[in-house]
Amino acid sequence: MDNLSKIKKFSKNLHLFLSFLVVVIPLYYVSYWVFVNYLPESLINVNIHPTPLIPNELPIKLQIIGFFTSLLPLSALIYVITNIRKLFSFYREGMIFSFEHVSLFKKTAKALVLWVILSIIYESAKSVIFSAGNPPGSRLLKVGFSSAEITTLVVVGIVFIIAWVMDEGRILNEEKELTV
Amino acid sequence: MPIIVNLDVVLAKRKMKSVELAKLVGITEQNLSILKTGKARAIRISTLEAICKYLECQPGDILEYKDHE
Repeated sequence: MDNLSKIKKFSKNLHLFLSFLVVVIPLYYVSYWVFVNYLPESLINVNIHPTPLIPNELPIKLQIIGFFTSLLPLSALIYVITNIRKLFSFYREGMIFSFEHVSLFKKTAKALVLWVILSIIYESAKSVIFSAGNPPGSRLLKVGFSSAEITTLVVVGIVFIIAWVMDEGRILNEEKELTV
Repeated sequence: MPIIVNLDVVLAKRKMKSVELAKLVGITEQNLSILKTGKARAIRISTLEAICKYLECQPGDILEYKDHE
């Protein structure tokens, strides 16, 4: 099997996997907010250390607010995944370099930055929602920028460089196609 | 582009069809069309050599430089 056939086969599988993620991730977000009162406390870490409080049930109103807030990072994440899926659909067809590829890489990088920003907002909103039932003085607003966000931003930088390299590859490919 | 490809003129003089030349040279009709329409960015020496061989001409008969001014 030559290299292009391997790329096509691998891309076909990855395309399928990404299609699966496009369905499963929103389902995860929906079920998280629907069953939030039945989840183990380790998944809702605001009320644990350093000030342990008696876990309180989230009222339906806060569950709905939580779900709508989760749509912010979710939409950015789904946009990232659909872009990557589109990229692999091109590879599946044997198209390796095109202007569309470069554009997809750039769009993905920008969407990842957006995802990081919206995730910070979402996590902050979660801290407010989960501590809303605490007594006055024990409610929290947690705004965090952790190593996970930094890692994503490093990935964004790498994706931008890949887009740049892909653009050079596209130019070389065009030169090759127009060489008789 | 100031380089003019006169391949169709030479083909007409030799009364040869593009399909025939493409087969003799060993390139696709599509590539020959790219060359004829002046869309080509580059031409391989081996392609030029084969075209000159089968059309019994010189590279200068196929390629011409014309300044726009």
